[in-house]
Amino acid sequence: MSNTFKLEILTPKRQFFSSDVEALTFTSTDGERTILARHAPMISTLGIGELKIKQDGDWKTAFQSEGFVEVRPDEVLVFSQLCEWDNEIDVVHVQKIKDAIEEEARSQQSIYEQKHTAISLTRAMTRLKVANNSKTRL
Amino acid sequence: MNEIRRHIKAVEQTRQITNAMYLLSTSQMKRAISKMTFNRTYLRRIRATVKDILIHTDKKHVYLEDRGNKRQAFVVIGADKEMCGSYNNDILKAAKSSLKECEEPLIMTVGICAQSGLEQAGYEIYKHWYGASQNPFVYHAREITESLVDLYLNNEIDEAYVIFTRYYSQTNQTIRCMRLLPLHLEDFSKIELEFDKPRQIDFTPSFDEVFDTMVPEYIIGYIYAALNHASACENIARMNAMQSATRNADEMIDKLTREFNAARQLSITNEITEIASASSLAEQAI
Repeated sequence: MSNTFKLEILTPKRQFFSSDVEALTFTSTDGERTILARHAPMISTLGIGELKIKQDGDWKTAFQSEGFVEVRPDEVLVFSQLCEWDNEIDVVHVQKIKDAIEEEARSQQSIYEQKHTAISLTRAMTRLKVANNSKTRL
Repeated sequence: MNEIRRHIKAVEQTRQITNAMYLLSTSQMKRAISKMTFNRTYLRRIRATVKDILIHTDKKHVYLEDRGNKRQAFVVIGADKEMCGSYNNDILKAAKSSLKECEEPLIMTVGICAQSGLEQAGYEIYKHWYGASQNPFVYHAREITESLVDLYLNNEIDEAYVIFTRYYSQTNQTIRCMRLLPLHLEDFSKIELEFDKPRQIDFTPSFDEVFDTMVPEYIIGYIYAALNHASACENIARMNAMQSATRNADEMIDKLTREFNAARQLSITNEITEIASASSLAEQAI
């Protein structure tokens, strides 16, 4: 039996990835998880973090936003709000977003607003982290 | 004659504007439709998955339960600008007929026309968004979902609906009212299951946590799709309106030019008659 499984990653904007892979590592809300071929049917959550795919022995890294994963006997489906390959992330742009959010955070009072900016900030910082990690590996 | 000339000029200017708007809405419509094609796969698969999960679970969760007293929230998606035929009117009519049935509806709107239309009808708008209908981003969908889910979890609403125009083809668009919360299996009846075999599903970290993230995710996907559909329909409506406006302007220019020519002809004939009669009088005088 082959050691690969069909993986499909979908975001509202595009079909991010669709191919046979050897392993998938994603960041769940309670930590990282890795899925190999013939995993038991499972549904798990996606937090903001790093997503890694092993294909033909090589690991590819991407940024993932919130979503969920369904492991089915025939394939693995990942639904995420936003996915970006590490080399796709526009560091300058994200840095700008991050600065803007931090600026906003200083003037905010309500709990709802604070929660909102905290999530946005995590998203921006994780994107930067994923992008920087890929640079140091090169 | 001067009046007609001025009229022709004015119509020509209007025609230029409507023609430019026609071209603009054509390109915007194309963009909206191309966004929608990517989004369609996502929506179809996420709905199939959610249905699959709903079938395979008998546990209770706050997103699934039917609360007795009905306080409903509506998200009405309209356009930011007028000049798109009956598009705004249609959506407002549909929204009003749905709103009439509930006692205390909570209304959120997307687009200035939806907001002002409902305010004029005497409804109070809880929250509104601008700009989301012209070029929707996931960001907009996320904001709308966050406020819906917050209201739902704080027990301020029992049900959430979205009213938007669904795009089927260039000539076929209908208004849909879709329930987003709570999730009911019957709302998914049209969706085909992708993998139809009974099996045990593991929920990690826990069933509750999975539903806490999955349901908002699904709603974001749905609202994003609804925004895209609405934006495509709006631009189609505007395109058609502007096309017929341009055609009308062309017809009007034709008609006015004919009138102008007739008037000119008339004045020339008059002048000739005057000269002729004057000269014959002059001849007689000699």
